[in-house]
Amino acid sequence: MAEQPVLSIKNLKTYFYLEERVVKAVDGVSLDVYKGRITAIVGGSGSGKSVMSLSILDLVDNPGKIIGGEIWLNGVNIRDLREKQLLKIRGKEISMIFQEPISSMNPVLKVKSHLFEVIRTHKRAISNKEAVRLCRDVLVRVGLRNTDQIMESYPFELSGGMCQRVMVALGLLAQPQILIADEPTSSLDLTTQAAILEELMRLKNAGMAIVLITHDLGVVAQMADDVYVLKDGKIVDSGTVYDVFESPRHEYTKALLAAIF
Amino acid sequence: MVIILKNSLLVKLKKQKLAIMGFIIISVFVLAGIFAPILSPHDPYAVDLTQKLLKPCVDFPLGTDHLGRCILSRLIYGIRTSLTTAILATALMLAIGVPLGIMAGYVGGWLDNAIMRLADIASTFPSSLLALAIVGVLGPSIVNIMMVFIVLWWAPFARIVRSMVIKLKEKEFVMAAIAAGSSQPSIILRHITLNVISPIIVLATLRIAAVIMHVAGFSFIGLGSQPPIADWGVMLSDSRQYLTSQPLMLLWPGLTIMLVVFAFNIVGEGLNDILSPASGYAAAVKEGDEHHG
Repeated sequence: MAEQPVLSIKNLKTYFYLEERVVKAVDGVSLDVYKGRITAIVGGSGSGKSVMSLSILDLVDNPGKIIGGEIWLNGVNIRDLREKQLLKIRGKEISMIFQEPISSMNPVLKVKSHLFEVIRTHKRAISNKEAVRLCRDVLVRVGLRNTDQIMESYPFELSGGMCQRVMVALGLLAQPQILIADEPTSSLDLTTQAAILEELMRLKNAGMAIVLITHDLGVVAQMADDVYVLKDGKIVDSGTVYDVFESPRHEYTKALLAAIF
Repeated sequence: MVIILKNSLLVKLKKQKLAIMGFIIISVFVLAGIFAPILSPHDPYAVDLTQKLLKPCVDFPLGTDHLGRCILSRLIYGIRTSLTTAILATALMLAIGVPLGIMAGYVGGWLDNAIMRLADIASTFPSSLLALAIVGVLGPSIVNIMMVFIVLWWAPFARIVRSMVIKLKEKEFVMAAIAAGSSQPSIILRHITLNVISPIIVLATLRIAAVIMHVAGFSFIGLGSQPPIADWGVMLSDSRQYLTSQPLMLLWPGLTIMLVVFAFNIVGEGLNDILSPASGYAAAVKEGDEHHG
């Protein structure tokens, strides 16, 4: 591919320092994410895919530590940035949506407060009226109707699917270049899954770079452009979705594929 | 579709008949305290030895004490002393305990250790001992007694808040807020503090009752309010000598203290039922899921 990747990870290592041993959750992962493409990161439970995605925004909690590697975003290695500069990247350049939509929202705040928090964090200088209009727009974009009613609702008053759409809307508010979706559909029922995936597809077609973290190869086959297969913190297979599905190079990939086809 | 659980808190409160009753009792007391000068039939400090130890009559609805002062008026003015000390003391406990708890839970490490050891000291120190020490040095007064409780009773608030914060900071919505670029102060205020408020309200309500009772107790043994101040504890103390000749003098302040403490306790219990995760938020989530099918 001639195009430059928007996000390029080189030899990323995140280790967890437990009392007796060191768990190498991410052990030398390198990958590239391109504009207008969906990059899927596939792996079983404990393969390190979630930790890897958290590492990108330096969200790994103690005792986990990023001990090496580079994360290049538009020619800047964000591993060199200080916490304060990172705040401007989180949510603004790269946003993230999580697996459990309902618990990803603060139970005591209305949807509107969640949306406003992102707006006030990343776009200070707009009026309240404009902010409300922005919220409405973004909620419509993720396929929600009754936007005024939703904005006045608390998370527990919404269904899982609606919450996940709100989460996607929150991710889109600051118009980031990259959206990292960590198992965005695993806790949803099939029809809602399809709707959320369709939404992600539309975003990709609008030119966004999407990192889709999943264990569901069915979703990968349907959605992804590039695939990385992760096992024990290492990338064991990678390539375009056709390459990986047609000619899996690693035993683990073959086993994964055999499990569904 | 969206279900708006309209005023769900009010709906649940209606189920708590006892709590409503407690709430009404407290409101009556608070109003009576505010409008004490209008409501009391006599000056609570007016001594008239010709009218001492009267039985309840038209002029003195609850009778008079050993100095001929109207008991009802003294009870009504006593609301001011009791409730203001109790509410003020509890507010100050909150002001100390909640921020310390949030700091201990959120920052962790040595700060957590330091704050929690302080809390250990505060919660193991006998209150009567500290009261005697403080009164011995600073003299008996209701302010000094308040200080005793503030110094000792911030600890349970700090402890509860700390344990909640430790759980909250691992929650996904906190992670999501960090991932969305929110700053630390915003996360602590909006995502942590807002979520610890409801259990704190419950504890604070129960604490107000405890403070009222203890302050009355210390006034009774002469360490708190000093005569002639209209205070329920002082009134009880005054009535001891007339136990056989005028038992009603003991009954009124005793009943009043009991009623207020009871009211705060049932309100606290009711709020606990309403706000606890099992019946409150979680139940609402479950209800929501059922409606979605």
